[in-house]
Amino acid sequence: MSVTEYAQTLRLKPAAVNWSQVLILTVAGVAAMAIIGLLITIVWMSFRTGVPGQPSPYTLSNYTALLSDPYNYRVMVTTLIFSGVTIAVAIPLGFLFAWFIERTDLPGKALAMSVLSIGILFPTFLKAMGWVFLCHPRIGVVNIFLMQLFELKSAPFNVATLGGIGFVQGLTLTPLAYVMISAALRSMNPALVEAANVHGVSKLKTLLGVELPLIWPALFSAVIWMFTVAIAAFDVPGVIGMANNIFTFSTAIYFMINPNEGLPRYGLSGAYGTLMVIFSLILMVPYFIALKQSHRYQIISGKSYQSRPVELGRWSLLGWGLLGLYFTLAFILPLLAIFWVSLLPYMQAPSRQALASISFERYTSLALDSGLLQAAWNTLMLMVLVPTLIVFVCAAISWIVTRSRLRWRVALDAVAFLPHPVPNLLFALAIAYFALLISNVVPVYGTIYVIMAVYLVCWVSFGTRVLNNSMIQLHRELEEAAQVGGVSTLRILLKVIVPLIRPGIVYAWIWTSLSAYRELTMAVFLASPKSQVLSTYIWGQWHGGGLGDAAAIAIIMMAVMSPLVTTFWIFARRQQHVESAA
Amino acid sequence: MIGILSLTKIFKSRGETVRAVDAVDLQVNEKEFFVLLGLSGSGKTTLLRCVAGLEKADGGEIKLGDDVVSAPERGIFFPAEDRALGMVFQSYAVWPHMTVFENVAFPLANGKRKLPRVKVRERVMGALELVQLGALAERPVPFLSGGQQQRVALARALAVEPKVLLMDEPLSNLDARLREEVRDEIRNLARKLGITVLYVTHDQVEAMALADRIAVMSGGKILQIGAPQELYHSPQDRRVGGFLGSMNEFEGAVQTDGRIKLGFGFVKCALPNQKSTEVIVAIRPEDVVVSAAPSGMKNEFSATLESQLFLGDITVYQLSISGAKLRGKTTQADRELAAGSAVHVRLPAENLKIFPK
Repeated sequence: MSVTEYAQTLRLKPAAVNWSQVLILTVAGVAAMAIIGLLITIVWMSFRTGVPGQPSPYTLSNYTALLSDPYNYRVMVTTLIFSGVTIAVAIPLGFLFAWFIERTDLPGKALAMSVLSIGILFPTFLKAMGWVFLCHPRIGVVNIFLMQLFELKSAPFNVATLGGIGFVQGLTLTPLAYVMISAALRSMNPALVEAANVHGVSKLKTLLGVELPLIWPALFSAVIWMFTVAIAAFDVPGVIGMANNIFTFSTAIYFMINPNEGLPRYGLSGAYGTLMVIFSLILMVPYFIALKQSHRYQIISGKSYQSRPVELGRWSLLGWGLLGLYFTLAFILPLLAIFWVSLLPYMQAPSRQALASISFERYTSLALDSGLLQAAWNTLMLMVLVPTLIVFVCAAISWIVTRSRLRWRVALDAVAFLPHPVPNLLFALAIAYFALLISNVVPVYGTIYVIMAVYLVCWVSFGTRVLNNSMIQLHRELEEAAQVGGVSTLRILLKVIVPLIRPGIVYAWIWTSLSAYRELTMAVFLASPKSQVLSTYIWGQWHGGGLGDAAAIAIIMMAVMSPLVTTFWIFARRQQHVESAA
Repeated sequence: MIGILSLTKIFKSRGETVRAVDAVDLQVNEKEFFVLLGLSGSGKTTLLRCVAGLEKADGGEIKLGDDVVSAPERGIFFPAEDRALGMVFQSYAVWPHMTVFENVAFPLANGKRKLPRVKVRERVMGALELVQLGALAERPVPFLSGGQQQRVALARALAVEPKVLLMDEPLSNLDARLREEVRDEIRNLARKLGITVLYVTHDQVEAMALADRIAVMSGGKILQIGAPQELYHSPQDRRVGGFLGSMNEFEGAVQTDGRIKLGFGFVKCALPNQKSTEVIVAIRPEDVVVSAAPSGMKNEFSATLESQLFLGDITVYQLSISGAKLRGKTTQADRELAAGSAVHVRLPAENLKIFPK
């Protein structure tokens, strides 16, 4: 065959438009624009007054109002103290548990690790409810019980204080702190510790003199991360604080949008939001510096070699004592309290009389509650649709970030990361504002679709972290082999890359689905009577005074969630995705 | 079949620019087995990837047959999927979630030049028979050995019936014995199918065993192109000679009578056309003739056998002529010679290579 024939038989010609790349770019581009657009909306609304859609001049009045009202300074101080208490509880506990589990021969540490890791998924607002039932000065069963027993005049414990809500928030964030710190401990070169031991340094001195300084950057970055989570935390301040006039940033914003009287003040909430965005982005600077520093101390070699664990001997009792105390305070007691309340007609401390009035009446009547069934249906829809869409969007973004050579890929990655540090409630606030703005044209305000949209936008950052990780581990040549074989980009993505990173995709799907199940913060900003989900339904009962019903639904929610989480955990263990859970 | 004209590829990283491929000209003929040989970083893989369309060249022209597939100055660029090539990768790049059959069939069923389903089966089985994997068609690829996986990759590349087959160090992940086996198989297949092959390797033995012609690359440029014998025996560049096999090298000065003065005496040989009088005289170890008794021919020196290394099929001598060290290599060692004995070393004039210093 001659050279000319070669050309004739093949008729080489490049496609005019690469449609598959256009599609991938569009999906990723829409997601990135949504993130940026919502952030701009926050800033934009801070310069306007009135209700969205109303004509408004551009004004600085929201900022002057913010700065001139002493209430706002109180909120700021409250938030800082609340965050401080949270960090003071979560970080030391997280560090201790990480050290016990990663560095010692503590028996049964696989169990401790499992409970701590899946504890991240335990709905925070339920824990807060449990603590109200336990230690509220008026209705807390512990208080009632102790007051009856010792004939006290006042309640010995009060969770409805700034310290109380900080403590409860700290308990709920301990698993996250544990996961972050244990990842750092695990990746630290064990030879550094062994070198100290070999040369005669004691275990305690090694811990304080070698390990702690080495993981200090990682610890510091965990502290900053906790801080960004705490200042944006809504569940605990919302459940315990709001009814007792303790307002943090997030609940203050909620109260501006849902005031007891008067019109919602979107402009002022925008000013709050703008400050929070700026603050959380500023916090990312030391966060990334510390993170970079901590990577310097990591083992480079791929082969992980296990150091000999510290032999605890009798000290393992202390380890399990701490873990047991934590599990009791963070999971067992709150759950028991909720269960107890759900069985009673009114709040009582455990007694013979109370036991006699126990019944499952609430559960049977709730089974016929159409509002609850609607909420359950809506929740189920979100649990299926959100993760499915997330996986598609994140696959497109991660492909561009890890595989393409587009000049904008680093910027795209940064944008996809933004919803991680920026408080998610602000995205909910912005999308509510936007939906109201367009409600005359596209009536989506108050529907389940706005909730879906904000979940999508916010969890893109989690999904892309997981899929970036998976895709980066794929050998580039696997893709190039298909490319040389004449296969289009979209087909390569769907038929080569996606099947190969299936574990990562399934992991991201399940995690997102469970997040949709437990999410309260964003839903509470967007749910209307017709678009209730389980969490907002409980929230409604809670603030409407139906504490018993709220408790019963909470128990049902946990009963449904437990097998789901267990399945997820077994899967995640098998895929060794434990670390990226953070 | 492959025409490359002043091809240039520049990489920029942290402000530094590297000319990975620097104005390279190259013609690969139809049905030719052409090997790019060089150390890592010499630009050979980048050159191959430019031909494949996996890298975008920055300048120059690439032609496949009559089609210009890359000419950045004129805005022409065919991406890899539009070039109708076959390629075998260093990491095999067989898709681990598919069976042997599915791997070979995937480009045929999903590529730009789709085949009807009946034909796919025929084509895949044909390709698998070529590499003797017909019996393993339904096996998932992770259950195959490295050599078998590389055969799957080869079958996949051949199944699209490419006119040009690109291979990027396809043997470097295999162990030594398997490497020879697969190497010979590749050579035979290429001959049988009459396919044009562009093959990248850093292993000179592999290159010489496979190639019709070799291009030796260094620093993004081609040092010399030629048949293996030509490159081995008459390298134009000291680096080419050294790359294809070891050499003894001595500094020398050309005298007015045409002899060359070395550290230990004078040698006589044909001089290349060159002006400089400062030269490097080189000779391969196997060309060094070692004997106990003098032969009386020219270019002979008395020397000391410092040590010898018996390697089975060959024996390596460590020699010293008046302090100058050199290595000799022979398949017919004189068993009487012992370390420390006085010997005679001859450097045959026809085997001496002269390079400018």
